[in-house]
Amino acid sequence: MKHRAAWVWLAVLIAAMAFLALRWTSGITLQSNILALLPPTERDAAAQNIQDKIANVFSRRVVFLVGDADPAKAEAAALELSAALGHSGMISALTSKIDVNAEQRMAAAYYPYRMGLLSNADRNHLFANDGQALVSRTLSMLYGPGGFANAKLIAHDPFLLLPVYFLALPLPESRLAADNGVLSVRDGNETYVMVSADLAGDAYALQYETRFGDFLSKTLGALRAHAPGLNILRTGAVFYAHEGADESMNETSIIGFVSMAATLALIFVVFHGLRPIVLGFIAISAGVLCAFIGTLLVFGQIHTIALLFGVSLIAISVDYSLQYFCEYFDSGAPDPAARLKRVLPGVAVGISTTLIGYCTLLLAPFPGLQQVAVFSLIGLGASCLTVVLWYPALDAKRPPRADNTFVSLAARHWALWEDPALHATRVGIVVLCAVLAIAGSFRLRTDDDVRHLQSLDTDLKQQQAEVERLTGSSPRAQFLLVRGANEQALLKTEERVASRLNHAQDILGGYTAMAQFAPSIARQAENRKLVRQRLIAPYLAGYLAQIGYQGQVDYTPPGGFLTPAVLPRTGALSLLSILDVSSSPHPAHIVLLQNVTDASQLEKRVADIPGVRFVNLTDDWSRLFGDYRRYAIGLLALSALLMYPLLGWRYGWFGGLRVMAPSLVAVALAPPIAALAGVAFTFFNAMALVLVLSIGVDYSVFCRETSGERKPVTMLAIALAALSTILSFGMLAFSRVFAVHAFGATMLIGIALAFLFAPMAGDGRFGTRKMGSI
Amino acid sequence: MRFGAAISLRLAIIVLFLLLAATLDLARAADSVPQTLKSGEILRGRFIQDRRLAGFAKPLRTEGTFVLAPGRGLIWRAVKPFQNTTVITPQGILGQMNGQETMRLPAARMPGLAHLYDVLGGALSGDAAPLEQTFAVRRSEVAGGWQMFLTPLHPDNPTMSQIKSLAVAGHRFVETIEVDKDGGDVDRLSFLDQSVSATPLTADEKSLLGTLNK
Repeated sequence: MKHRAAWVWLAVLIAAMAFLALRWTSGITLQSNILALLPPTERDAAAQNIQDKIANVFSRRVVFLVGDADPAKAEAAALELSAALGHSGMISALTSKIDVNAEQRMAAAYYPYRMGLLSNADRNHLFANDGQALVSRTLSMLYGPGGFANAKLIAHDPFLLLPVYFLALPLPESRLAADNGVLSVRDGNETYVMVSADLAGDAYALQYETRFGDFLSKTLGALRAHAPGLNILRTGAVFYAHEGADESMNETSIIGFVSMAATLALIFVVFHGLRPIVLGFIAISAGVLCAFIGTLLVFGQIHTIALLFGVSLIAISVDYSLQYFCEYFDSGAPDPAARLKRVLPGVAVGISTTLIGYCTLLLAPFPGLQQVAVFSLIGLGASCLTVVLWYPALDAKRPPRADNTFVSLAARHWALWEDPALHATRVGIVVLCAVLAIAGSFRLRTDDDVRHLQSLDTDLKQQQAEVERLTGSSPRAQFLLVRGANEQALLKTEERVASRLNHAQDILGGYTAMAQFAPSIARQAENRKLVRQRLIAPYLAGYLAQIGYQGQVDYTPPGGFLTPAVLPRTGALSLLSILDVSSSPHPAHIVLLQNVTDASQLEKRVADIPGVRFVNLTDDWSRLFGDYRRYAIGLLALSALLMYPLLGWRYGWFGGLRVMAPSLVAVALAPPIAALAGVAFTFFNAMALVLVLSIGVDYSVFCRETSGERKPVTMLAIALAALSTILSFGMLAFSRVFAVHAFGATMLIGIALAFLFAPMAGDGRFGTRKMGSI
Repeated sequence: MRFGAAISLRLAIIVLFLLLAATLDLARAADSVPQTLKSGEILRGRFIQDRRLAGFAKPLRTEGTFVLAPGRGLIWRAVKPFQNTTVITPQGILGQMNGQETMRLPAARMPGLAHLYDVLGGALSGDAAPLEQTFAVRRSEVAGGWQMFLTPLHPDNPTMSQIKSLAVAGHRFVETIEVDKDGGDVDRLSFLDQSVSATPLTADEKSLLGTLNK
């Protein structure tokens, strides 16, 4: 019966390997966007949709500045780069050449509606019934050195309202100059030419990142080989993502390798043999294999962070093997079946509590955490099954070994908590921990800033700062979301918003709204009336006489009005497609905000306009991480509550509490002690505490399940488990990915504490027999 | 191409270009001694601008003064018929009337501006090639000075829109510029009382030239 199950398990694993090989060839989607770990944030699906769309637009933009001392070389290289980008098939839009015809198309689209289009200044003058100001303004333009006006223009737009309207449009201003058909900026001796592009793929999809990264390093390498003086700066989410993914992939392999190597080395040193290593390796591999496939099947993709946490699971699945192997040192368990039988109750309770802990992760509405949970649940289950089904068969002839120095070492840990002679030391340890925790609690602070959660490569950051300095623009993900029943309603709302923003120069650098490019029909009608009654009627004849114009004036408005649909979305107006975020049937625009210095004040000033919402993507995400940090603490309490009935059923209501106590102490003390080392408390620390609780409870369960002679052997297994967990998670504390670092640091301290206090859950009977030697 | 021209005020740039050209050895006339501005030197003078537009009864005449600081920019102050100041620097163009800003155009909004600065920069360092890539240049000597006739080589280039030809005449300095535009419009600029000095810019002038950097 048992044999057959072992064979079935072998068949399952072989099938799994074949499946993985198959999936591998067809490509596996690895995600690296930390925001992909986030749940859909809002109940309002339309708003969510829009935010996703905008985030997508921002994340797809890449900007290069190609610099050289020789402007011609810089320009040639920039054109070569944009040609290569164009041919790569990996981008959807490319701006390197300025489209001269775009300006003409734009002028042609606006021209018929010119009478209803007024610059803010002109409109304000007319409102104040100061048409004379417009007359003077027109005269100075007519007489000035840049006189572009001619009889034709005067005939069709006598007060040059349309050119003035154009000049006032909030087209992107930057330090870049339109030169020779390309955008360039001079900085010292260098001339930089800009190439910007929109990616056709998801900046955070690992395969796309890799493909784009490879393409780029090849292209840039060729350019540099051709012109060694080139200085190419770049910025864009894809580069950070690529760097981040590279980093976490490297870290995954390093951490995975070191974790496994250290764990196996530990086993080798303690057991003087290869068999536990081979068996341990098999259990671990089976776990990771099944976890990987299971996660892939459930989610269709794997997030690199889930993978990172998942691989660290190795250290946990090895805990159960260790319980088994340590029975080698107990003469009371002469054969594999007997060993298995002895450790099975502890392992079963341990696994049950750990699975409860992981299941609570499943309850978190975070796709990423659910991935971690699924990865862990499946991996743990598979490893455990491997131990139970295969060890008896594979380990058949292993004789028991006695007399091991490590066993006597482990016995001392029991003594620490049970030997009456060591009472003072015990009190000392407890006091020390309490003092550390109290000291640390003063330094404990929370940190939910999403920008801290993803490590940012310093070189890329410098390049980004340099690009922002050279171009004089820094994209900020701050805007107003405007929603309404239809497009005209949106434009009207935006006009209300604009009248507020015009008076918000103290907290705002500027703004860009669709209504500036296409005023509402109501506004255009009003403008036409203003122009007719307050400008044309009182001033036109006198003005024309003053300049001596003798021709006809043809200045009558058309029947219709300008609507956004009329405008071409090329050249300077291509930014209109960013402003329009409607997703049928929900019309929506955004108003881009530049240089907001006081976000909360700005939010307040537009708060009463219906349909308008201030959105700050970075802040929103940070707020979300705060919410979920609190959520994780709730999960922690929940998983403790869920474990308790099981432990209470097995050990009695008070006994259950005793078994949980060491882990609860570890969970309470880990954050303040980590704070002493400068680790802020984030959502990821909270999630680590969930794991500390379930792993810590395992240790106590093992301590509780053992007794008498077996105590040191059990403790050795726990010590090895804790050590391997610390080794692997200790590595995570050194990760450059902030989230992983926070997670690792909390695990490191929490597990150490859980191990330290674990024997408190034991039976408390000290020295009934001499342990560890026969 | 009516409104594109309106946006970038190319003629203003041409004025600047020619004023700076005044400082160059472009005429290569043996008997005239072209004035070359040294670094830190400033050219000041008066101007009269007659703008003849088809369909207008009389030319639009503007009179005023100008200050040219090579590498920094030009201040163009109209006095008659209106007080009106225009500042042109590599950063863009600024208009002021009675101390009020009436117009601000950063260089990014003016395709071709930087190219013109290149033409000038090249010419200033004795390299006439960029100029000759932009215009067909015909030079001649006349009694008491020199003449230059420029026609755009690429009339389709938006920078050159509206401009049919430029006629420049001078002796030590540029004295007249005639700009022939589409539709028979002509701008005639005369420069008077020109003098070069090493006197530094006044605080007012400095602040005007620096306004576009803000």
